[in-house]
Amino acid sequence: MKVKSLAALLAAATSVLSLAACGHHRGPAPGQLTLGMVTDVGGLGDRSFNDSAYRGLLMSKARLGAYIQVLQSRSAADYQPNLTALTNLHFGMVYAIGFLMGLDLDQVAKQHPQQRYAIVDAVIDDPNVVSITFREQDGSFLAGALAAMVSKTHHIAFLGGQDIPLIEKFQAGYIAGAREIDPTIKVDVKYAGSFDDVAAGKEIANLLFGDGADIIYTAAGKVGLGAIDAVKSHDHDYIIGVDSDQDALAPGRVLTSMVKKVDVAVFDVAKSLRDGKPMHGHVVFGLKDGAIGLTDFKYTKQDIGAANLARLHAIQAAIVSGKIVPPSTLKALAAFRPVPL
Amino acid sequence: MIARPALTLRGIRKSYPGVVAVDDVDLDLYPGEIHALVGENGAGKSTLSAIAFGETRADAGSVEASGTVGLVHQHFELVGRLRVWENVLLGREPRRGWRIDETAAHERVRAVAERNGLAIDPDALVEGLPIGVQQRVELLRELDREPSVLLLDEPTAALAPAEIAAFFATVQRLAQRGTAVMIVTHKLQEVIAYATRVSVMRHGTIVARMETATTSVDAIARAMVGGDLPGVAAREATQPTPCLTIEALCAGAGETRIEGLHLEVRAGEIVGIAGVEGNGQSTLADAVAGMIGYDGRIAFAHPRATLGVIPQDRQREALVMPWSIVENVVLGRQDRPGIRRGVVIDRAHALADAQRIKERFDVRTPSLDVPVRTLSGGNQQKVVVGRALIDSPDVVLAYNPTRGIDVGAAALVQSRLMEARNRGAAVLLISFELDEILALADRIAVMYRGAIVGDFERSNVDRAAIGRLMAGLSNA
Amino acid sequence: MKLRRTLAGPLGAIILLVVLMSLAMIVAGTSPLDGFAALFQGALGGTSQIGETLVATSALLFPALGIALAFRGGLFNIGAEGQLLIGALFAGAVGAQLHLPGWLGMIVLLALGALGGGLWGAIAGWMKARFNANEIIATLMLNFVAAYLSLALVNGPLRGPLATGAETAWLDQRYWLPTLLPGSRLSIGILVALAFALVLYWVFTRTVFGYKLRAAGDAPEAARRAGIDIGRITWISLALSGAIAGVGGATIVTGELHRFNTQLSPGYGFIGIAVALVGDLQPLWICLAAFGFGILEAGGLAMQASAQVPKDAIHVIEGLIILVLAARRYVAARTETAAV
Repeated sequence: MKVKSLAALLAAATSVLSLAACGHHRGPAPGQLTLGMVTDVGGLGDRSFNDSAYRGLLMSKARLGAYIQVLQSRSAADYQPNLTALTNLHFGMVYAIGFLMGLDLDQVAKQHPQQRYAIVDAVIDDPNVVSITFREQDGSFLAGALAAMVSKTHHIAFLGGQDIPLIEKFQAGYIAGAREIDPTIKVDVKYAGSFDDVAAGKEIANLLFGDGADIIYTAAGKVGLGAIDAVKSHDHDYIIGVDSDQDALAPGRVLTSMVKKVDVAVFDVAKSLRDGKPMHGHVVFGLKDGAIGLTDFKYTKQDIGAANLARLHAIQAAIVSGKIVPPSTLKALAAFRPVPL
Repeated sequence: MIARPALTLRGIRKSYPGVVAVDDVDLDLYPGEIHALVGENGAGKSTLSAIAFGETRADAGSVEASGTVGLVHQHFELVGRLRVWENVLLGREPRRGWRIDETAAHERVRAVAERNGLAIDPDALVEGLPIGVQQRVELLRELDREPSVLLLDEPTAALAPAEIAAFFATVQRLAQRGTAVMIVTHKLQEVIAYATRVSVMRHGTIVARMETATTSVDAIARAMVGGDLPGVAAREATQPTPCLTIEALCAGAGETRIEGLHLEVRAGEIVGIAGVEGNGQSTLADAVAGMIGYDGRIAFAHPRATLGVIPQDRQREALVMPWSIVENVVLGRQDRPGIRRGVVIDRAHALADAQRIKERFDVRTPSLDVPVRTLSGGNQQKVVVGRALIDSPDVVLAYNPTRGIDVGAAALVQSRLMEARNRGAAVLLISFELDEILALADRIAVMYRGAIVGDFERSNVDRAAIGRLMAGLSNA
Repeated sequence: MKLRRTLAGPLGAIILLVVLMSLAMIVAGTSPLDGFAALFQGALGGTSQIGETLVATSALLFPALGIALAFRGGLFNIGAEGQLLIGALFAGAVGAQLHLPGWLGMIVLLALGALGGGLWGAIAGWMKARFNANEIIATLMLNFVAAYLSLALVNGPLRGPLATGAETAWLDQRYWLPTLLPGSRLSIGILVALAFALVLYWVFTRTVFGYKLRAAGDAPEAARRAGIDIGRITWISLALSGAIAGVGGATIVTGELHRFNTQLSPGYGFIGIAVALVGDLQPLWICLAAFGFGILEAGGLAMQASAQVPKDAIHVIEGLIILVLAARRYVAARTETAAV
């Protein structure tokens, strides 16, 4: 009886298998450029740098004909298995998105010296890892300058995710840029202690607006989305978004976004691989690479005014030329003096 | 008899791996007869009745029944947490719409019980009922289906003498109304007293068919064992000295509570506790075995005295059914020096013990590694008794040690108990079979409602007086 | 005959698994042939792949062995997930602050894992022995307590200074368990797991404790009458069960992850139930079953990466199998005790 029914099941299983065997094959073609990516816990849909990195992958697919694959991480415990899984499939390049993955990537990279990796926002000292970082302080300097120009209360704010060196770059650049315009401006600084607590973002933004700040620069991942939600009910206040173009999330209320074009960096790394001259070591992307910058003020041009925009262009040119060097640490900020243009 | 048989078995054959359980058996059951099927454990009675009931499929042969066939198992198949009427009508409840019609259900159970002379409270919870009453529930369940053939597997094994008479009155009424009754039993006196015909099975075949009117217990027993019966070991002279003293014992609750019980069991004697089930015997046994708390005193003559227990329910309380004989022989002795060596069990020792029990008790099994579940009831009981006696305990507590096992096995168990007494053990024998107590005990104490109501030396036993005391008639 | 009966359960489970996975692949638009090729390639196609499979095997083996120990004693411990987590928490919390020689530190951390998991199991055991609380509910609920407790601690006082999620700081490198298979993540943790399996086999078949445990599980009333202290067996076996799962948690921390994260188990403690049942509660068979499930875990991820079949599909199917096996066993146990 038992054996008979088992045999029947087995037969059913085999027929299902053979019937379905005509499905199409979806793996990479031989010789195709293959790119794998592991998101951090923010995952796809964070409207921030995971999404931005994914755009770089899509760009590589469209322009370089790459085969791409993304594994999302639900927790930090997924980083190692995900990185290893893509490694085991021998992708040409495996991207680790976010400095959160730094130590995990270091470990995996040492186990697989033949595999190429790229990591965004962290510097890993392994010969097979390309470390991609950005001069966030440059863009943040522009954001701070713009905020100081537009603020009516001479009081602006900074909302960080966690108090870590990466976010310090945003903070130092932002404050320096504001002082470049208005040396006496008041800048409140708050940290949410997280990159994904949306509710905390909304709460802290309301608090900062209540204290008199009329512009908040968020450098806090998903926490920033909460702040953008909060500004929708403040008609005279602004948020400055971060990483991706967040202007459309609350049209007119997001003054601009400090865009960190991870997509550009991801694409450039992929292209260098395709061209047979793969990047290696520590690669820094900044204003002059077009990988950092503000948006085009689609909804807020009127509020800012042409004069301010011209002034902003001048500052940008001064940074690119090296006349202004935005500080990347609080220590450097203390030594920063506004540069007369 | 000229009537058409209610049940006809022809050429029935059934084998299990390594054994032919039933080998080419023909059997007819006629309406109105009470047919006894007897045989030693493993003779094939249970298999044959399972085939007749349709529970087991025969390898060969035919089964023809003229109506429904009912079977009352030796081990009840009741749902403890349901009430009596729910158990009786399980799956056949009268309905009103989608609900059970409780009034009609009560009425129906009461009517079936009355018609068959079985007193029962339809609302009682089954798990709280004494075994004898549970059996009535089981019987009622079958009777409600108005079977034309009723198979009863060891129906009186759990009943008190008075209950047995009442039970057979019921069965005889059923037979008079045209039911064909087949009783599988070990109790040959009952066969002679109540059955009309008897078929004797041995090694899977029917070796004798007799009319009870023209045969005797002896003749049936000889046919069963294929020769003369083994006798019970002789009673030797001993010098009884106090060994187990029970004073002012109070324990248990409800109907089975013991209140101020005094009893002394001396080394080298068997004290039999006579009584109808449900008068506190299990409470007494549990207290002596240390399974329940109690007030009063239970004292052994020396502090290191050892106790060997034969529990009442061998399948639930004494054995781990899926385990091998060897593993079961260790149970309860797992911490004894010899068996336990450091943190491990000395398997060679356990195997030697099992081998000894197998030989001394004639345990019939293909191997000592088979699960005890596969042994017949008698052989299971031999393992239990063998284990209880193997360490030569100072005190032996035996609770219905021969219940539900065949005459050969029973004689063997009784002999071993007698030998334990002869070597100086104090044996406390609790049995619902007065004959067993009369055969074995040096002294007999009658238990009624939680107290000892009478005490007899072997030399001046009065069976009638004991019977009256058991029934609660104190002016014996 | 007997072999056929013992194999029918696991074999049926495997066939069911293959059929359901084929269906999942078809739904995901992939041919089952490609899907299974990806799965086996991803699980066994090279050193690193085998390493990943064995990492999962090890992670499943610990809780499965713990579960088997409790189940053999008749206790349905479904709290291995929480026990594993607490064991990992103990190892991670202390490991981040430890100042000991490396090898001693490793032993201390694994012992802490045993302590944490054992404590968690013992709580359920004590509740059962003392208040006759149903161990299924107690262990299940303690899973939630473990999850929220560890989350609160790791979001609060135990949070690593650079941690961005609910994580402790990283362990000093000298406490990382040595790599067993170079070029993979596999640490010597799996050897610890296999050693536990052997010890457990010995405990079950040879020792007095194992004997008492099995008696309590197979025939509680007979065990009680044989002088076995069921209450004691209950809490000891749940504590040991939890301790084994806890060591598993500690090996994940010291062997692969090198810090504690509240999400470090994707349900090893639950999948472990299936592993234990498929392994028929026999330690050596469980090793084999854990390897099979390890293939699914590691291969499932590879399948997702190369054939676009979501790994979650495998977890859903595994869940179904747990349900079927657990129900079968539970019902069998119930009917056996009910037939009084």
